[in-house]
Amino acid sequence: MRQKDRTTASDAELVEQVLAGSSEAFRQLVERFQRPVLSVIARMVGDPALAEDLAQEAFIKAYRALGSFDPRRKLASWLFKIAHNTTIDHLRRGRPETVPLEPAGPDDEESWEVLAASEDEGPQRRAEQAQLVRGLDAALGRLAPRYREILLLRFQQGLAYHEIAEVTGLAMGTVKVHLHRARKLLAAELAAAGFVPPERWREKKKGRA
Amino acid sequence: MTERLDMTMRRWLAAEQAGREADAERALARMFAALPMSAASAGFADRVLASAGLRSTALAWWGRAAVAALLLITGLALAYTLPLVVGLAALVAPGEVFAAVVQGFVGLANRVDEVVAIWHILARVMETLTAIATAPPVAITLLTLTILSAATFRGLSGLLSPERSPGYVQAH
Repeated sequence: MRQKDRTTASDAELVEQVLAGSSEAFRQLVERFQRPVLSVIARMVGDPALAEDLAQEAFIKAYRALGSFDPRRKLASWLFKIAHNTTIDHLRRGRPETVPLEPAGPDDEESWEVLAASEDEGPQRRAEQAQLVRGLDAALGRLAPRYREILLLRFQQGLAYHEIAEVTGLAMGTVKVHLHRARKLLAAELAAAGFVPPERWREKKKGRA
Repeated sequence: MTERLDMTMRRWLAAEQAGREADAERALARMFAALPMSAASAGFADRVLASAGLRSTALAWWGRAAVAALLLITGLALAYTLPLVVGLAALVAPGEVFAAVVQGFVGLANRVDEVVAIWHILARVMETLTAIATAPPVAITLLTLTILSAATFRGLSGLLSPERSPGYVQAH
């Protein structure tokens, strides 16, 4: 098959090609999912280098287990499940969980501004937005790994409840409860860090007046 | 126009407080979309493939073009040289070829014979020297000279670099 066909191939087609012995198809698969998998792992363990090692381990496990993958399932969920198990195994081995002092995002303020920017915002507004995103990242880092993971899978990776249940091995009811609790904890962390929206602060001021 | 994130946060927190789950989830998803996704370091996919025991067989377009060009040149070269080789082969009789090969082996055997003769001479010389060296007076002399040489070398080394001698360190 030509290179061009492989880059537009669906997940199921890529899996088929990998099982047929194509290492190039497996490379395409890794490149397609490396960012999402790495993003979740990195925010769970808090160490980018360790996250990359765990992600590599997860992809190798996925390659070896690809024969058992059911093509009716979503490949992303299956990969996240392997990544989840790999990360949890690492955390259970008693390695100290490192929580970054700084958020796991870019080092330079400009990159945060670009991420947070809207088209018609001035520099000050962009800086405020960037600070907000950094605050969200930091608040996320202060949650327990199981809450962080569930929030990322749901809101960053867009997984449905049943897919999160599959990834984490929890019952769907438990996933919903954890998600609800995680959202509350995140809101509390942001409030504790001072990220109260400006208008709410003005309302509070009025209340005191 | 995309909504500002602080407004999204307001919507999220308000929805959380009011118990409007769907609104809260929508707003939070918008906020999470702003979080940067981690990028793997360069060569991550290569390392995964290598660890899995795979090699990428992909060639860039210029690689494939180069291979195709080399194959074409090789083919053309064969096409032009094959008649020449056939013509040369026709000039040489099979019997002559066989005779030349046999002559080559004979020459090789003669060379080996000469080397063996030289080897015998060297072996005789070494036997004589061994007989002399193993005689007791000679052996004792050789051993004494070896010990004296080693002691002299050690002494000279110490003289040339006094700062490394233990005595120097203790004295200073």
